[in-house]
Amino acid sequence: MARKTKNLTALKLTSAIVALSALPVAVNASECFDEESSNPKAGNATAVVGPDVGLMQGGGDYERPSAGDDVFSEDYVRTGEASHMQLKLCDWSTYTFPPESEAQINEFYDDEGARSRRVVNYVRGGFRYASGRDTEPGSTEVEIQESGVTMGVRGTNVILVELEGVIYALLEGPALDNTGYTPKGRVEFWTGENRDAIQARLIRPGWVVRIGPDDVSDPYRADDALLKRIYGAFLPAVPDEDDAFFAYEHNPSGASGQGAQEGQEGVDTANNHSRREDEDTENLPEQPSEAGISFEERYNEAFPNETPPFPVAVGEILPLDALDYYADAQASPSGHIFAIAPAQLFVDNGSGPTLADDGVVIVQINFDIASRTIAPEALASFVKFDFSVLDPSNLGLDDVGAALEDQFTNAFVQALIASSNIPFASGGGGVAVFPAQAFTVTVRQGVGETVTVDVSADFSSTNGQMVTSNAIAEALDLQLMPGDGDLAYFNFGLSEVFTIADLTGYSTSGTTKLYGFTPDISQTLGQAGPLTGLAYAQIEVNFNNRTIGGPGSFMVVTAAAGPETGGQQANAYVSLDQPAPFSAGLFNMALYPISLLINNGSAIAGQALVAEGSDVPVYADIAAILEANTGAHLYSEILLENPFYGADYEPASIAELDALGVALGTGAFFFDGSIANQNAAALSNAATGDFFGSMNAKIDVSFANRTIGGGDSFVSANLFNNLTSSTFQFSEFLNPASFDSALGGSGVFAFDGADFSGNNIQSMIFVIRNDLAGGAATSADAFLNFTDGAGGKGLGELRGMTLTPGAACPGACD
Amino acid sequence: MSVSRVIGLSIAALFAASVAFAQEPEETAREAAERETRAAEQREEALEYSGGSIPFGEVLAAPDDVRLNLAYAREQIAGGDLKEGAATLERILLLQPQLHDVRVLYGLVLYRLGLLDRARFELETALNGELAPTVRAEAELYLERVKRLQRATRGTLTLTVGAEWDQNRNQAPSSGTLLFFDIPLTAEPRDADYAWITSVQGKITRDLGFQAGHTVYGEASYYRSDKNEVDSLDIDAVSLATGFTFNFGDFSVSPRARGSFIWLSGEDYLSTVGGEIELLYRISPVLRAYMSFRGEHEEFRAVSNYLTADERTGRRLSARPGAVWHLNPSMALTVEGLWMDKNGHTRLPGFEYESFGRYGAFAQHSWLHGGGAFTLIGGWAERSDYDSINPYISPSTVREEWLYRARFTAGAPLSWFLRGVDMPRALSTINLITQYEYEKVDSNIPNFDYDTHKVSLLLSKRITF
Repeated sequence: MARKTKNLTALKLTSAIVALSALPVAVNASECFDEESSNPKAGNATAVVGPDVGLMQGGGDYERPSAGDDVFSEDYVRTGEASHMQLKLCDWSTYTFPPESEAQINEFYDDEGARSRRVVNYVRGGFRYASGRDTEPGSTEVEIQESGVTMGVRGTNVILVELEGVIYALLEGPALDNTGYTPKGRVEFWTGENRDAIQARLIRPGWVVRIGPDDVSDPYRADDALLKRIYGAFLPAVPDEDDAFFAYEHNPSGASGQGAQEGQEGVDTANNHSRREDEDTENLPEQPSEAGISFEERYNEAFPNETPPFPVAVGEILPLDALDYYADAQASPSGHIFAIAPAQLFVDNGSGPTLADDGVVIVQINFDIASRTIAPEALASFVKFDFSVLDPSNLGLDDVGAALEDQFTNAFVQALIASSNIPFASGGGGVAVFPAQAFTVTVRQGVGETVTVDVSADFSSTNGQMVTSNAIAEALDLQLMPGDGDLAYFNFGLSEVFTIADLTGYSTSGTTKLYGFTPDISQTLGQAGPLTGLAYAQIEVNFNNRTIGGPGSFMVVTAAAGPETGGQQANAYVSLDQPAPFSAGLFNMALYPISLLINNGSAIAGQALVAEGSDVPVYADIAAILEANTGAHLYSEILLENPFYGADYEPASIAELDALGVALGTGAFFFDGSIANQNAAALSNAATGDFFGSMNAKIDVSFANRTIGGGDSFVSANLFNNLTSSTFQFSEFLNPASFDSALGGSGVFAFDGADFSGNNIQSMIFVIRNDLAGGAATSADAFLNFTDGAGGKGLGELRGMTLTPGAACPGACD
Repeated sequence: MSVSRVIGLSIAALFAASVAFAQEPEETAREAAERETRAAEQREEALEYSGGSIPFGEVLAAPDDVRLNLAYAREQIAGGDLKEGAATLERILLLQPQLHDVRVLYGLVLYRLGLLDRARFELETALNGELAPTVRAEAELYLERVKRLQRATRGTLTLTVGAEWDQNRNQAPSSGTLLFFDIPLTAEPRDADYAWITSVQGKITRDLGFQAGHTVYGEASYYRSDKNEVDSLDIDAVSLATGFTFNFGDFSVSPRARGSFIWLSGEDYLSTVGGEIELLYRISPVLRAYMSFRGEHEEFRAVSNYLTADERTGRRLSARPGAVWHLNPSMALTVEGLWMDKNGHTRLPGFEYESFGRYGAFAQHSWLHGGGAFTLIGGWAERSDYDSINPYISPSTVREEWLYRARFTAGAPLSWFLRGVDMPRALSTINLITQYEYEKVDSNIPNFDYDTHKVSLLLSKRITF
């Protein structure tokens, strides 16, 4: 077939430069189109089948080509009825035309001359396109006349075919390329010249679009019927004589490069198995050779006859096991932590908490290592908030600010009592964190074989006006020290306590002897909590010797028999007869551990404070836990603000009492309260009001029987309410008590309600004193608490009861 | 006989048949004899092409020459150029559409090319014509494969049984000693042991019908390793996973949830729950890169023989960047990095001796040798740095170690071993896989310093549905 004149249009082939080609070589003389070629051959007609196949070159007429003929750029191809044509172009791409098709193929270089491009003008019918090994991605475009749609093909297989007036574009590929891999491929559709305005995109084989007059449908999966119609359009009619056989034996692709892909499933299986094995190695127990060998067995092998340690990193909270191991290793059966740290008080009156005051907190927590218990004794382990001072390092620096309300303090003391006797085993989450009502204790590993303790307190209380007070504090990294702490909880404000310097420099001389008594006592061991009873203390502050305590000073606590005390009256007495120098105070304050003032072991913990007074030069406060004769531990805080005027301070001893009996003979004597130099009683009842009045008592002393009380010994009270003009009276006989029941070998006797004939008196402390005027054991004081039986609580005292010959005689015999 | 040789004969036979078909039906005996003679000559001529190369120009010079085109197609197929082979076969079928055998071949080539819709059409068209029984069977087999691949829901079930021998099953320390509070004690000796392996793995994938090819899938597997002597390490494991694969052009995202349960010697030992997301980017047809992120909570439980196993409970995070490079159609190189962070909750707060950071690298060369045979050569190196001392083992030394692993795997279907033996396809496709592995842990704590040789032999069968 003759080569027709080439006529490149400026529109399509702006930079077409033709040259010789090194691309697939046809047998014909013409060379493939390339940038240097002057002979723009596009490819060859590799199959010409059927009666009506035409090739139009150079604007001439269609003429039937021969198979193998060259096809040039801008040539038109056409197939008629029952005719097919296959073109193999120079880039090895293949175009297969079904019957009734027509198209033009244009080859050219783009404006920059950098890459070849091909534009196929689709006229009618269709063609099947397969990219070739040298097809540049994105180099082929198909312009679909009439619709104005352009189809850009990027390295794939696509069919464009018209079926019953509808043009379909079906993505077939991409096919695996010659390396056996699937190249990237897609087909995009746009209208006009704007290639960026993609109307549809085919990216998945088997998906198709319909190309309408002006647009392109959304892609959709071609169903089987449509696929058969599309593929069927390319299928030549099969002759009837269908008896040809191909002696085919095996999968032909098994001999191809792709055939080697067989085995991938084996690779996958092997890889899966290997991953499983690797995970086993990862997940199986470490040191599987140690299976079934216990820690203890290994430890015994390494450390025969030793207890396994339980090391924990410094600073980490001890697991309970570790705490137990730690306790095992301690030589001391007990330990304690002590600290003074900053504290803050927040007040919330309904508008949110605000910082009301800064203060301090005194922390003392005991650890009973032997019994694995924290705060084994209530109030011996405590947190004391004090907002009357400011600086933990200078407790003498008073603070002017908010004070804790009594309601807060009372609630906090109850919380403190409840925050006791905490077993190690109760740690939360299996570690040494012990939250209690008043504080939380956290035990951490210290350096070496030590532990550190953190204590935090966060306590709130709301009063009747719905104002909430919230005190918070924490003390961290406290070292656990051997033994128990010396102090006991006290409520007394530190701002009133003398500094040592102030007390030492106080411009007075002589001695100040003080006493006080209170019905507020508590049991601190076992069933910790308040008890019915009475506490009394007296102490000497000697400005001549600059000492506190000494002969005559003592503290006594008596608890009435009740369920909490095991049905027994419990009496505790401690002599504070060891004077302590002012300078011995703790924290530069006039705060003296009670252990400094005693020479026996009946005081568990406590302290005496000396404060600057107003009515008197000084006054004192003693808070202590004493061990009673029953083994009970009794706590009380006593404000000692009453001075002794005179010399009748020291209690007599039982020896002196016996000696007096020898001197006086066996006659009857009694201490006469009717001539006491001081007697007073008061009762407070929320319902009936406050009553004030006097007391009377006559207490027999039988030197022959060595008893106090008995006979007609009585104690009476006569109180009057001025507001209601009502009276309250009682008179109760007192049972005898042996001299030998005196506490601490002194003339101090403790009675409870069972010792009296009535139900009003709850406890009485009776102190026989040495009177300088009357002689040894010739004066006595009585301190008692009573009740009206209706919720009222009363206190009374008779001081200066004189030993008088005769027998006690209540009523008319007076 | 090599596979390529078989194909050569096939094509030659096809050539002969096609020429025969070109004759008039009313041929004489002489003509038939001449035809047979000519067919034999042409067969021989076609065979001559097996070792040479037919220039395309020669085909262009006679594009209607079916004989030449068949020879040319044969050469293209044998050379791995399936695309050109398909074009040549298409040309033949335009000229001689009644060559149903050739159409079967064409369908198979299209199947190999991944043009499944047209492969199905051509195979179905061919099956409507007359075919030799063997060819028909082959066509039906591949048609079934095509249909299976085109199902929206596809599944695979892989059954594996075998045995594995481990020279140091109990990972006894190489030094023969172990530390206990830094005091060296005599370790238990190595225990060489073999195990019976049973594994069932199933996967179902559902095409969600998007053009992008998004899929949802679920996986389940059961694995059992029954040790002969070291029963304390008997494993039963069940793992479950489900997830999606979303495709965005060359980029794929595969999130999935996963969980597993492992029993050790029959006791509840480990359960994991977590998620994984894999990002894959196809840089080119032969190179793809991926990054996998995985996070799991591992709940270990103390078991009779390992009372402290629960201390490993905690989360595990890992990331695995990697790439797969297909050097050629039969070889691929996989390179993967590893970063991992494990946080084990030990009983001793502050002693994170079950927590570690790990990084490593993995490389594997896979080689498909044809006929389903393959070899894998892989190597691992992983570094682990633990967070703190284990005071029970060594209060003075924080554990650090390298794990090295080399593995060689070879496998092939039974048909590869028993070539020429006629056996049911269900048997011939069973894979026989053998594996050798050397594993060494080089630890600064002798307790964990060990090495071992492992050999396994597995039979595996994959069923697709």
